[in-house]
This record gives sequence, structure tokens and C-alpha cells, in this order.
Amino acid sequence: MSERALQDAYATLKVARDANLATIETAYAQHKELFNNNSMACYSLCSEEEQQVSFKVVESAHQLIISECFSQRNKAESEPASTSECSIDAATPDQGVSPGSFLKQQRQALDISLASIVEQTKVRRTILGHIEDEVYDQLPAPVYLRGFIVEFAKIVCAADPHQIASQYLELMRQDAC
Amino acid sequence: MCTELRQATAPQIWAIASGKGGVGKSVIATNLAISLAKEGRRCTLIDADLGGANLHTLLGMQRPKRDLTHLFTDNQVNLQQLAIPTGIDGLDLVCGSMDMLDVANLHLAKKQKLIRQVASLDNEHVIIDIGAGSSFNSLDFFLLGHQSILVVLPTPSSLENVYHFLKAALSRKFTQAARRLGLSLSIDSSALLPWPQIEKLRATQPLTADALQEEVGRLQPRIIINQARTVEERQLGGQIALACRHFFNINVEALGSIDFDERVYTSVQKMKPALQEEGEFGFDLAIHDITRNLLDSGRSK
Repeated sequence: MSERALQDAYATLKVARDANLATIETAYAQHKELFNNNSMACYSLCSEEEQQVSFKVVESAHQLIISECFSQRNKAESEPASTSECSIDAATPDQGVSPGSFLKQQRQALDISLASIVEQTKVRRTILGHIEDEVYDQLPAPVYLRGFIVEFAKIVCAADPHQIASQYLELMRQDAC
Repeated sequence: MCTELRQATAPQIWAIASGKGGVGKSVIATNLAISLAKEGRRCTLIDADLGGANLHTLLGMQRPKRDLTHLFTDNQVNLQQLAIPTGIDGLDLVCGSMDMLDVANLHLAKKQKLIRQVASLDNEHVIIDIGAGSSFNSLDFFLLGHQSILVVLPTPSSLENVYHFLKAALSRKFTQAARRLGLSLSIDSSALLPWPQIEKLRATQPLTADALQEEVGRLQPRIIINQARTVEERQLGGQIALACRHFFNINVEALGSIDFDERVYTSVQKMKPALQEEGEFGFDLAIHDITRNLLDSGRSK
């Protein structure tokens, strides 16, 4: 991925290079709304075709930024220093406990506040609350959600954060069917 | 020392325009002025809707004997003398011209006299209610504000006029800045956005281009959405700010939105401003919030 293309992508969404996922997500949502077909704010500023082109530019900028974020993250994870964030025993969900409930129970058992998770993940508090309570229709797109859940699970010392995220997304997918 | 004293007493000017008529600009200007007065601040409201003056009626006042006509026709008269009490503690009104048929096409020297005197009024706050449209008069009063405010209805026609007004204001700001820097640019009035011309200049005069860009960038208009009826309409200000950043490369801030309220219509009918009525309603709270936002952003400037 070229550095220039990435720079353009950040400029398109008007976010800083060190912006966290939540900021990127908000900027993406706002730009998508601005360039969608029914947007009143674009009235008289551009033609319908230009609006559609801008919409696509926003979509691809967002794709580029997100894949860059995750590849950075994977790189960091593969380095040995960052493997053990928790000094206590890693936990797995008991039989029959859904991943959202597991995250909540585990957080409460370790006496970690939601505010502290907000602080560490930079994900908005309402979203974290919805993740715990499994309010699927209020959650962001799976492409972000996976990263949010992995981060959350790491902080509450889940044995396999990626497994929790996959289970979570699978249940969410089934619920939507 | 003298300069410092002058600056300390110079009024904070809020200029309120709309691009389109009938969007509630005068009602909002009047109620913002009352809101300031209720906060214990002294304010002069100026009816600069030349040719369409009516703030005295909104305030339920008799047609005054003195108005802006006297400023334009009598060299001995100054703006301060035209400010008349409104009956609301701390709030004075300068009425718009009623008797000059050609007042909307104000002569340059007269306009400059008015602009000079507004900036040196002896008061804490000045609110200027500017006429609809994008005439040079309207643009110049708009650019005079420490806070340049646009009232927008959530309708395509209002948005179209506001965007046109903003482009015209940017172009006017560019012309003024270029003149101040002593540049004799052949300004292309059909290309309303100044940025390409600034970039062209950068090739030969980079420092001047920087100065121009900074000066034009100082125009950071605020948006008030009026008569919102849905959640989407309340949030339109943020979308307009985003669109302005994208299409015009300027920073616009959404100040807040005011919900559609029958009571405001009734207050205009009764010639008694909504903020002077008994009880507190959504409109009053919205006006109060916007006043606070404006005062806060004025402080941080």
C-alpha cells in the first residue's frame, strides 16, 4: 500500500494519522451520510454523479485506513514483548455463557471499570456497553467490532481474545438471519 | 496604553445573515439580543436590513423618530445617538431606515461611516441584523462580525442561498485582504472560491500567499438551523460544516438548532418577543444555549 494513497485516505476522511478507531469510524459515518443519495447538505454543491463518486472515494479511503490499522496491529502482536498483557491467569468462558456476558463478568470479577476500558481501547463507552449487553443493532460494522472485542478481551485477560471475537461475530450473524 | 483601552471597550460584534429571506433571522437576532440583556450584558441591536427594517415591530415598539436615515443624511449625527432604549434593561435598538427609498443601494462612503461607527460603539455587545441576499452591503456587514452567523432552514432553497452567500463572503474577504496587502490582483469574480488564485500567487510571492490564506481562513462562519422538525434536521448544521470543509475548504461551526415552535409565530403576531413571554420553552432554551456557545467561543478567540 503506497504511503501517498494512505495520506490521501486520511485527508479524505479528515482525520489525523494517529486517530483511534472510534474517531475514524465517526468520520467515516459522517462522510457517508454527507455523500449518500438523500443528503440535503450537498444540495446545489455537486451533481448526483459527483456525489456518487465522492461516496466511493470515502468507501475506499476507509477500507484502506482500516486494513492499515489492522496490519499495524498484527505486526505489534507478533512481537514477543506484547504477548502477555495480563499478569493473572487467563480465563475462558464457561459452558453456556455468551461472549458478551463473559466479557462483562470477567471485567467485574477483575474489578475493572468500563471507564478504564474506554481509556485503554479509545472505544466509546456506549459501544462497549452494547458489546457487553449484546445489543447487536447498535453495534458498529463487524470490520471494527472484531478489533474492539479483541482489545476488550485482552484487557479482561481472556485466554484467546480472537476466539471470543469470532464467537461474538458468529452469534451476531446468526441473530441477524 | 491608549490602544489597549480602546480595545477593551470595543464591542463584541455578532453579525447575523441568512442569504435567503423568511428564515427567521430577525426573530433570532432579536431574541439573542434579549438573551444577552437577560444575562446582564449591555447590547445594541442594529437593524441593518436596509430597505426591510422591522426589528422595532418585533420588539413591539412604536416607529421611532430617529433611524439610520439620519446617520446617512446628517453629518452631525453619530450612531450612538440613534440607539434608543427598548424597554428591556440593557438593550438598545438602532432602527433601520424607513424613509430612504434607495437605502438598500447604500453609497460607499455612507456604508463606511456606518461600519466605522459600529466598531466604535460604546457598548459590550452589538448584534447586527443583516438583510437577505448577497449584496456587497450584506457581505460587508457580515464580515464585520467577530462572530459571523448564518441562519439556515432545513430546506434545499435555504441551503442553496446559504452556500452562495458563503462563497460570495469568501470572495469578498479575499478582495478585502488583497487590498489591505496592497495587491493589485485581477480578481476573477466568476471564480468565487479564492484558493486557486492564492495558489497561483504562491509561485511568485509565497509570503503574500500565506498572509492571504491566513486572512481568508479567519472567516469561520457559524450556522444556526432554524425550525427543525426531525432529528436529521437538527443535525444538519454538522453536515453543512462538513460540506463547507469539503467543497469550500473553510471551517464552519454548527452553533445549534432551534425546533419549529408555533409559539414563536404567535409571538411575532403579538409583537412581543418569545423570550419576553411568561414561562420557558424549547425555543428559549435553544436561544440560551446558542448565546452561551457564542460567548464561550468569543472568549477563546
